[in-house]
Amino acid sequence: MIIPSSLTQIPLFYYFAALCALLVVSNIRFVMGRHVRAQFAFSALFQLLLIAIIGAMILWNGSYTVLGLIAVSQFSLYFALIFTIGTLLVNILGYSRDAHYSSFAVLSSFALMGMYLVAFSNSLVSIFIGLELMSIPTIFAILLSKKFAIESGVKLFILASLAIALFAFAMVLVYGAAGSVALSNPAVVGSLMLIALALMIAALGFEAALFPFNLWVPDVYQGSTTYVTAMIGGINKKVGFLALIEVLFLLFFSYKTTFVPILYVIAIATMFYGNLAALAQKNVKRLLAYSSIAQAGYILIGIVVATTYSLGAAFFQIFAHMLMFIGALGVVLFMESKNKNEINEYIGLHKESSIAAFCLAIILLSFIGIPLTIGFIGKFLLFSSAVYGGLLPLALIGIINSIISVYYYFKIIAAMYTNKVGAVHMKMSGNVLFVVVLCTLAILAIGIYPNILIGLVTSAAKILG
Amino acid sequence: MFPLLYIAPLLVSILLVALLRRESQLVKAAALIGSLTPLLFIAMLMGQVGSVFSMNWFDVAGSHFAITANVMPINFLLYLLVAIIAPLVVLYSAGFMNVLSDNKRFYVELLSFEAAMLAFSLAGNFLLLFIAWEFLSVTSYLLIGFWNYKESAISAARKTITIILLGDIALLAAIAIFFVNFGTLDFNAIIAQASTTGINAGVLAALTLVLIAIFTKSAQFPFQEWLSAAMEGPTPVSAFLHSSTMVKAGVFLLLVLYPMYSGTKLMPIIEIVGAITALIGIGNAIVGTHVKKVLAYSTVEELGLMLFAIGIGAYAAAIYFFFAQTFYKALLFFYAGSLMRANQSEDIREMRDSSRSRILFISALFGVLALAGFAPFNGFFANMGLEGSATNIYTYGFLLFVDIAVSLFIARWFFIPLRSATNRAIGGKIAMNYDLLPIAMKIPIVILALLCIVTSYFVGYIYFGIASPMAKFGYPQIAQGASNFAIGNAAIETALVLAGVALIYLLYRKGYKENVRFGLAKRILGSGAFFNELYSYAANFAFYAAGAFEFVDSELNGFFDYLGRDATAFGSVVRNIETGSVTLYAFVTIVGLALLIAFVVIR
Repeated sequence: MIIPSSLTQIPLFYYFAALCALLVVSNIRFVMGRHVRAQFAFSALFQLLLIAIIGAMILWNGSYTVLGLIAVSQFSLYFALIFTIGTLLVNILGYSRDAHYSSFAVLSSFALMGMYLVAFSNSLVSIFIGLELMSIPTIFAILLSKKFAIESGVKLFILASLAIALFAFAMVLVYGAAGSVALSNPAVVGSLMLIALALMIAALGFEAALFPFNLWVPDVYQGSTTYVTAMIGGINKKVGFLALIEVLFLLFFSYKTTFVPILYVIAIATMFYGNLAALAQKNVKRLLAYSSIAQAGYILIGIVVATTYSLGAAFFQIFAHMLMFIGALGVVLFMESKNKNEINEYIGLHKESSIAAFCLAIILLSFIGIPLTIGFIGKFLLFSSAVYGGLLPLALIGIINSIISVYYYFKIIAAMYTNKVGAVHMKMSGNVLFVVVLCTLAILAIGIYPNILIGLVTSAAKILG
Repeated sequence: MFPLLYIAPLLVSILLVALLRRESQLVKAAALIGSLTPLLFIAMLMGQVGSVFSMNWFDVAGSHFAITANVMPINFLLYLLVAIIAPLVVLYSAGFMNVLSDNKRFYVELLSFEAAMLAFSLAGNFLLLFIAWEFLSVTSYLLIGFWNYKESAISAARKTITIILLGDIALLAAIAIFFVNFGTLDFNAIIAQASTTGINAGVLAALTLVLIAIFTKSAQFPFQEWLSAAMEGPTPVSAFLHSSTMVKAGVFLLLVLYPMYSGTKLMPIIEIVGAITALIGIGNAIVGTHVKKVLAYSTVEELGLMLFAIGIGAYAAAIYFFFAQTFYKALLFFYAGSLMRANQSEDIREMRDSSRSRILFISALFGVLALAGFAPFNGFFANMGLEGSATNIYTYGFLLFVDIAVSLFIARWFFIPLRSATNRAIGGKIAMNYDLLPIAMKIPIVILALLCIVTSYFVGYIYFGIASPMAKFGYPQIAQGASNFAIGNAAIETALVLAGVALIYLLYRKGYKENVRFGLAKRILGSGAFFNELYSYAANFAFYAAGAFEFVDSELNGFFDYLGRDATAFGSVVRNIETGSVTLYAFVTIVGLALLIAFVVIR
């Protein structure tokens, strides 16, 4: 790639920062106003520009620090890219012409800044601030959304503050032991660091929905308004993973022999917990919540194996799950608007809205890992990386879990394609249709031609060594 | 040209059928044309026999994952079989599926299955093989449960997918072990490496796992019962998937991996399991009364026999049997569908006047004779080939026993519906139903009947054009030549078939008697019920386990709800909203944290 001489790399980052500011400021300017449509247009525009500029930064292979606080690399850029894509999708999904969307757009733009901070972070402090900047707007988004979702908002608030307190305490311990909170730590031994490691895993395990820190997930996912759920499960959870990866591989790397067995057990427990509990669910949204726990377990396999290959696989699956989750919740949102929540209310969907049924079927097949979908490539990479890394048992457990998952995913597919007497045609609203179809197409496209994304995740994983 | 591209027109036509607006004759026509397109490429594929094609799919960290198509002679053979049977099935369906059905969904699923099967037939590495294998499972599930307003169809589909998924896990695990041991997924490379380095314990474990996958897919003991459950699907599906193509995927995989198995301790296992399965199939077929299930058990018997043949090293004979069985089995299923349509029943005891339609009757007779192994039909040559390559007196004796038993049950199956109707009114109605059978249901039957004769003249081609050239790829040399077809064997074979038919004729000459004295024998022979019960015990156990998990989960929740209400640390607002689950969640988080700290410190 030829770099235009006028654009050296650091100025590109300034454009990026300016765009971030524009996004936030324009949203604040519009809040409480009556120009929801304009607000949506500006948000979408700036987010698209952000995607473009991050893409340019990835292409020009930037790797530098800004002000000593912000580390730009292929790794951070990859995550910034997928978080922006996710936020854009959720924004489109949540769009409606009233004040609820207006407040949601502001909050999600704040949360996006928090995500960027985590992605570009160079020290524990910026991860801390980033996580806060993300979760507080999320809680407000739950509380302010149309439906009266106070219970789930308060639940998330209490538990998130517990998690963040653990994180802060861990940070203090790290500072005490190592004298610094930078993310490139030399090997310091000592029980303080070990306890800090345990606290970190607990705190970030909460964000990433790992067992046993994930009991809140089904309640909060089910209780929140659907587009907020899409944001929590599709994006916020991935930020938790990102922070976990950064902390483990940049700060605690010399403790690899300690954290790998812990995460090994957690990965197995998370997969089984998610899949077995999902078997019994009747509510589609709750089922998807449990299934996303199981998917978190699969992603964790990549972290446990801890090779470049496996981390790349985990990054791949993180993006894959984001697309699948947001797409699936798009259909759930559509069905909710018709007052249908249970699996047996999905019966006959293919007659009522064939496009919704078809897209959800593809998405669920991708969750299972049927070939020619993004889910297959993701699982294939994860399991083969485990095999390569000498953890064959973990791969087998993952395979057994995906087989268990077939049952509950197929339950929905079978319901949708069962005939129903008196099916009435239902129409999807344009923005939901757009998101669902886009996610489905992306799932198929990347499932058939995964090379570009694999290239991205491989270069991202190389940064962590 | 990359051989997988031959499937592309088929995929386009699937899309076209799916996008057609209305249910109409157009759907059927488009499906028929689409199903014919793979036949167009037969000549090209024939020219490619012996070559390997590879297309890079994705690379990660130095590993290349490619889609590899391998055109060995047996790959070509399977492609040919599927490409010939598929249009016949679609044509038959055009007549059969005219009521109670949404045609579009049916043809989309059927053609998808055809595409998956063709891709499977060309697989040259485990990646493509597994992809196709999964699609076979999914389409089979969808097609068995096609009549999804019937509870029985749904439960049959669920039963099938459960057993098939067991095999899928085994296959995936085996692939993982192969990948670790050989660093590649290509069949040719794996076979070549295994032949130089020998089979170590890990590879042997993987081969065992593959064998489990083969047993599930090809309905071998103890998994054979899913095949009779699968008869809940529409008849064209039974004819296509569950007799002539999909169930043979397992046998095919065994044929492909044969060089790895030969010489290992697994060969006797294959032989014994095949023999047991064949006996179970025969037993159930002899006492069965459901018109399709008898045929299903006969398929089970044939698949068992194929494995038996492979187990005793009769590679070429197994391939010819694999080839010949396709035609008469599809034919008999089509005939069974016609009987069901005319008699409005699925029980052979309630069927009458099956000779009313001469053309159907004569065609079915061809199929029955072929299945029984009567000259000059293809089944005769298949049986001769098997008997000629028997290794010792026991295997020879077993094969002779199977011969006579097969002619017994198929003659019974064929004779019982021949009786004329007792009641004139019913007889008239049945006769009218026979006359009303659509022509689309008759053409495929006639074509297949002709093929049953024609393909017997391909026996030399299969032996020397398909099986023999496999030696170039490290497969066994075909030593036996014409000695397989000695005149003495032919005489014994014919005598056995005639004896079986004669016995059945004597037994049922006076019409079917319900109380033929074999009460206990019937129960032993009809082992299907026993296996079904066994399966449901296993399934119940699994569900109880899952249920226990659910129970513990909810009990815990309730317990902590109780605790939470008392031990209140939160403000009154929160308490009003909360039911205590937050306390539980926080509590579990803290317990988890404590465990983590204990773990890191103790280490």
